[in-house]
Amino acid sequence: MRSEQLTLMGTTDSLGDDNVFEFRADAVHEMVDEIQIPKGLSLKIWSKHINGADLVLETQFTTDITADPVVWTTFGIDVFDSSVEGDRNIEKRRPLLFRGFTGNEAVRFVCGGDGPGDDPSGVEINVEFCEIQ
Amino acid sequence: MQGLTDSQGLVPDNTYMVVYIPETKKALVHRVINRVNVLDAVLNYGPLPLEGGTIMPTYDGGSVQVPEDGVMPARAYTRTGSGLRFPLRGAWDEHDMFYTPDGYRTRMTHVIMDTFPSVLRLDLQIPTGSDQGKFQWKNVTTGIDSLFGALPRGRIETAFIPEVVYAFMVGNDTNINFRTGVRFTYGEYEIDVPKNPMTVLEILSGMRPASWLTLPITYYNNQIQAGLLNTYGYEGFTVYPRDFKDREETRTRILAEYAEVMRGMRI
Repeated sequence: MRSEQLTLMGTTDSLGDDNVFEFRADAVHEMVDEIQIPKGLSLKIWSKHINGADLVLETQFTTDITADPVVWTTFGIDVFDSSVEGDRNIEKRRPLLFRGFTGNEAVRFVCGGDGPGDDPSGVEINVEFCEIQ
Repeated sequence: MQGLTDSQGLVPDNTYMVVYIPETKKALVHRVINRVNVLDAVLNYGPLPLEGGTIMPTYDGGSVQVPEDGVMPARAYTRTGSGLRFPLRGAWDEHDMFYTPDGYRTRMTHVIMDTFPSVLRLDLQIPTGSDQGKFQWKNVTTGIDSLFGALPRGRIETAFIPEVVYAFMVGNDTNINFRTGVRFTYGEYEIDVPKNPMTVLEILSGMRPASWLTLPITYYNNQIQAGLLNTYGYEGFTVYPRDFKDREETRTRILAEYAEVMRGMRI
């Protein structure tokens, strides 16, 4: 399979329940708040770009999106402090890697810490679907 | 496609092309005289021909509506009997740009379909309605409706037999409604057939270089048979073990059989 990259774009203005980011992408119709990983594929998170107001961005993973309730585990926390830096670029030479062994695994991004501030923050996240290696 | 191909995966001019049908153990052997579409081998078709409002089954057991033309709904797959065909105004069949009648016997269309996004699962029904995926002989039928097995994602390749209606099956096992796109890399080949049985034997024995394409046909039905007979006048040359050509008695028998097949050819 050719790998497939998606640039996800979201803001704290459009958070869903539990402060979960809802994203747009050029190839995505309507918003998406979690990404299910098909069986046999991996999801790589290559980069994140955060700007705007201070933000704590959590990357969460579940092994079973069909469970009730879904148990999410935080795998990465990125803290953006706008008083220190104008924006934050997180480039991964080694991407965050999540594998789909059952097809029920999923990833989502959450506005952590104290939640969104009064001013909005924006995030762009570059993800890639590829074969499990 | 295995063997001789150009940088785009198409068959070069003046080379042999073998189209193998696993179910019958027979192969069509053609010489590609030239590719008619020399400069325009890539066709950016546009979105998948999914019509907004169409109801599709889902991997979770329910059904879902296509939200907008060209959008592949999350968890959905094409229903058997409703596989995709690609409309094109001006084509011989405007509902299916790859369908041709038997009069197109001196042409063969070879298509590599790339879908965007590439995570979409793809399958082919030849002819439409016929699941060709099998596991453990025929104990388990696989197909686009089953998450068992590893169907290709993002790319599928085939050659079109005239008079046979193909259906492209698409599945989306993510939770995302995807806007889709399709790119065809295709060769419309002007073909003829080798007239010498020895040439065919050498090609099928691997002594002469050729492009090999295996059609996913594990269930050979009347439509395929009729398409081949009406168009080319034969169902293919039986492929024998490679060492059969080395023994006088088997070689003679095979050459006689191939010569008999050639007498019925319509190309």
